[in-house]
Order: sequence, then structure tokens, then C-alpha cells
Amino acid sequence: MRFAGIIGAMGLAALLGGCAVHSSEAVKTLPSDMIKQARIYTITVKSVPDNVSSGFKPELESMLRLGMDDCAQGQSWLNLEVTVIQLKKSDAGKAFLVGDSNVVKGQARLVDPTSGAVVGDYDIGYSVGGGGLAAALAMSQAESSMARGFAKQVCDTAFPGHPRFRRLG
Amino acid sequence: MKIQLIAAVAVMGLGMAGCATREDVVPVPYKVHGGAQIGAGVHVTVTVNDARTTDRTKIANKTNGYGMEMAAIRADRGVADIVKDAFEAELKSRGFAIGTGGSNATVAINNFYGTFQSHLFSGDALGDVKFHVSVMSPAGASAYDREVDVIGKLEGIQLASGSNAATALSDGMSKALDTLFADPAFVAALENHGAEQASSSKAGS
Repeated sequence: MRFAGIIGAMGLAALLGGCAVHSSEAVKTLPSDMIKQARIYTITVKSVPDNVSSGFKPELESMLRLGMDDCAQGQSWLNLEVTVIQLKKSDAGKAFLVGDSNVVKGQARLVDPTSGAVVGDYDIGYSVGGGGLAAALAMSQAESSMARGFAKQVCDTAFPGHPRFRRLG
Repeated sequence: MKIQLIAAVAVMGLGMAGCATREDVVPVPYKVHGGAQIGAGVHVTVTVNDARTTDRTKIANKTNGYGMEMAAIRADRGVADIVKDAFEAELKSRGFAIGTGGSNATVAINNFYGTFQSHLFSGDALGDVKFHVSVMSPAGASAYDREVDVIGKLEGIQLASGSNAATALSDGMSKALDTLFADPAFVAALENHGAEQASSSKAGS
């Protein structure tokens, strides 16, 4: 029984290890009143890595629009500028055998449209990892899940405490 | 049985969370390489700008076995100060003097970030260091302009820790500065404008 318990614990721990984590940080945070009053007007994805498909950029823009409409519902318009610098896609075989991860990293900037000043500046990082068949399958749609994860991270980091993700899930 | 199982999960959870989820704040050591005494007391002003566009608040992230980014690893002081001190130490060790009256060397730090690679029995820490270096004459004319992009490496590590990332970045910094000082055009830019300034000072005096 004790052995079975240990095996069970290891299995649970392995499941716990195969999850999503973020490494996002604010370089310049929005003033607290702006966090409550902001609303995103334009969303510009300035650049994406070379290794992504042509569908990634529009999908990211779409996810960002959904996320921003949920988490920034004020009356003060801001523009969002996003740069994605890395999208590492997991290798299915490696993920199945020993575990692997999808990683997306980039930058998000909130710009005051009237002055052009950067009022919020964030490094965005999001990883999903795991091992085994379930993890390999879950990570197979890397671009789609990383676009969604990136958008969630922008919401979480720039607009903490706001109701969000009603449509991003 | 249930209690034993929960306890085992809790202990394993703590074990997994112990290192990778705790931030490290570490010094980034630098050992001066030095070189031939080429400076002859010529003055050089050094300006270092932190021009990183990503990972601007940290120098690395711990990673777990799947390659996921975990807790941040931060330097115990500003990256620009670390690079400035290293650059000035290399200049002094070659006989240059730090101060006004000669060339102006500017280093823009475009990347200064450590990553970890895992292999079967050990791993490597990599320090990605990217500088844009320019040298201006005292009159403000461009004398040198170059991108230096190197990877520092610390092989055979067991932990994705802050000290290992710092050592790899220190190695990257050494390689970047070695690359610069091995470039005759860089040394000439420092020396010539310093010499011009020295001769014009003499002529004026």
C-alpha cells in the first residue's frame, strides 16, 4: 500500500509539473486610476518570430482583442503595441517520451494615443509544459494556445484585479 | 492511507517548488583578462546604456525539466553598471585612463540574458550577450561602430541556478570584450582619437 501511495504521489506530482507558468513582469506599470479607466482602442502586433505560420499574427490579434475587451472596460482610450520575440514549439516525440514545453515571450506596451507616450510597458512570458501522451497532445496546437496565453498574460500583468477572460476561457 | 498519500504529495510538491519557484538575486562576477599595454594613458570616456527590449528586469529565469520558465534570476545591481565596470577594468588593464579628453566609447546593451539547456546527465548555462559598441572622436565624429553578439557558456551544471546563469553571462561578457579588443579598428579608434586629442592639447598649450 505504501508503495502504491508513493507511485500515486509521483503520478500526481508529474501531473502538477505539466502545467502553465508565466514569467511576465511590469517594466512600467500603469497608474492605478488608469488601470481602472483604460480601454484599448488599436492593437498592433509589430513583429512575430520567423518560425511561426502566417496564421499566428491574426490569431494573436484576435485573442488580444477578446482579452482587452474583457479586462480593460473603462472610458480612457489607450493603444496596445505588441512584439513577440520568441515562440518555442514543443517537439511531440520529446514531449511524449521525456517532456517538453511551448514558450512564448515578448513585449506589450500601452501608449497614450493623444501624446504618444508609453504609459505601460511589460515583458510577457508564458510557458506550457508536460510529459506523456496527454501533454504531447495538449501542446500540439502551440501557436493557438500560445496566442491565447500571451493575451491572458497581457491582461493579467497590465490590468491586475480586473474581471477578465470571459471569452478567452 | 489517504493522509499518507496527501502527505507524500505535499512533500513532493514542496520539493518541486523549493528551488525553481524562488527568485535568485546574484552578483555577476567579472575577472579582467587584460592584454598588451596599448593605451599609453590615453583617456577614454565610457557610457553604457541598457537598451534591452525584453527581459529587462532580470538576467535569466530558472527552468524546470520541461524547459518552462520559472522564477526570475536578477542581478544584485544594474546591468549597465556591471558592463561599465567590466569595460573600464579592461581598458585600465591595457593602459588606458578613464576620463574626459579622449574618445567617447558607448556600449548599448541589447541583450544580457542567461538560459539553460538540459542533457541526459547534466546541463549547460548559456549567457547571451549582445552589445552595440560605438566610438566617437572628441569632436563627435564616428570612428567605430560594431555589433558584438556572443554566447557565454558554463558546461556540466546540475542546477538551473542564479550563480550558474551569472557565471555564463560573465563568460559572455568576457568573450564580448575580448572580441572588441582583438579588433584593430576598435583599438585604433580609441588610440587615434586619444592621440589626436593629446597632440591638439599639446599644440594648444
